[in-house]
Amino acid sequence: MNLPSHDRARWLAQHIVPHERAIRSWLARRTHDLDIDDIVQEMYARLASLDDAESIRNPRQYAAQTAISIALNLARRARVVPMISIGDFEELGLASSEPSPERTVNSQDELRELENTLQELPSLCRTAFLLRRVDGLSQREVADKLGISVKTVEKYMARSVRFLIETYGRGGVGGAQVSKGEAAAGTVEGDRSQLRR
Amino acid sequence: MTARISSKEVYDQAASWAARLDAGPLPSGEQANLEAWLDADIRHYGALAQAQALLVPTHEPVSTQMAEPIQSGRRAFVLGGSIAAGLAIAAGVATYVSRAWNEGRYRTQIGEMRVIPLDDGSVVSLNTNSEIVVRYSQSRRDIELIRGEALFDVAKNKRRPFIVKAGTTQVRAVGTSFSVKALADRPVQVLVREGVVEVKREDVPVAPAVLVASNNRAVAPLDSPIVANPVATAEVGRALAWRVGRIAFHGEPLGQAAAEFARYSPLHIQIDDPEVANKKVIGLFVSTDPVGFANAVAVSLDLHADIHGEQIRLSRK
Repeated sequence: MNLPSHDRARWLAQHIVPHERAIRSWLARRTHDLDIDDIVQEMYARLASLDDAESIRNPRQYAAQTAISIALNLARRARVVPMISIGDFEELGLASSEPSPERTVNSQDELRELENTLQELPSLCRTAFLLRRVDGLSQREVADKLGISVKTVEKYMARSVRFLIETYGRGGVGGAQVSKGEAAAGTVEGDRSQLRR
Repeated sequence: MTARISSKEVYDQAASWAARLDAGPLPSGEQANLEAWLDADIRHYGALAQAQALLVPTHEPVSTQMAEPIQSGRRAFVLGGSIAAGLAIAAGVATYVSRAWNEGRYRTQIGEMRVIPLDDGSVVSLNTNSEIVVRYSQSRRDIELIRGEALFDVAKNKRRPFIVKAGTTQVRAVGTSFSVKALADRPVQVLVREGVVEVKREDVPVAPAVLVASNNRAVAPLDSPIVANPVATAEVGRALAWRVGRIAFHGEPLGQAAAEFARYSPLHIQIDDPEVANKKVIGLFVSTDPVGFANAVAVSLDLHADIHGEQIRLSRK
């Protein structure tokens, strides 16, 4: 299996990552026995191995449909009845055939959002990550600039990425872990995640 | 479910692999490990793609930007507007002074930005044309801002206060994030991004210290009391855009914007017409690229930009 290309990683960053939270919370309100992380990981796997992603007109919708088909498969294997109906696509604006709204963030918004999100990390870790992510310095250059080892920079990158995955995942993971017997509680959880948005 | 690992662990491993791949090519042994890991579960591949998407730089690295044909000699002079290039060069020139005692003097040239990690885990980001002196002892962490602007991300340590002095203004923090700006002929400004700091004037011992909370800016004029005012989060972000080589404007007059650019470059923007100088500017610009700024402004405000040697003149068409 080939590694995801740099271009594909960029495409995912631009077209999928911004919608991940919405897709997660939407999934969480509709599935009760499935691990949303499982679905999202597989969704990324499929999107990363597509032959041609650039020609997808509405990546948000495409990603959500991919997630749904994965959820249906998982549900079939786990012999649970998923609570998914295709009509639900309306809710997320997923039924539309319009191109998904581009991430209209200018670099200023993105910078602010990233900085705010990363506030919980130690400052050196955060600085190292921003130098790499925002300024495009290589890990070696970041190490030289901050006077720390390349290994430490690598560790900071891993930690920051892990942190971001967790942050983007906070949308609706809670609802996903409710067992079948607690379907009612699951609904409450789902509602709560709706209220939170 | 079988004994497969949890999705949390998958993410842990994926983050490590993404960071590892981002560092450079893998030795063959590790390559084999990675392939075995990827083959074990489709989720691994997806989590890795996800992690890589979060790590991909927003801007292309310097090397690819440099590879593009340079459009004009003048743009080449301002480094094609890439902050990364500026940082890389700064890193090459910079020398850290006596880090062993963590005492030293750090300065930046015009247009340079530097990040200085200190041994206690605090990080100082030094903006253009700035200078600080660091003096650490067992009981306190003293920094003097000789001139310019710096952002301090302070590592928490209750027993060792972090004190920044700028002229006669003193800012005291325990663990927080704040910037201090000391420009010639202007009152010292303290902007708090996180936590609380205490600002006081050394030369007026009777005046009480002012507590300044996050999202507040304190101004310390020489002849009147310190005043703190709330600042919107967005404004804090704009005020600190210099950390990544940007200047942000949100309706400031063009004249003020030109003065701001003069802090970052020997190229100066000249505006003779007061009406032009009063036009409002909005946007985010590369701080070391006044030419790019002038051209962008000329287009959006329908002005004429005339570039001559070290001077850029903006006038009505």
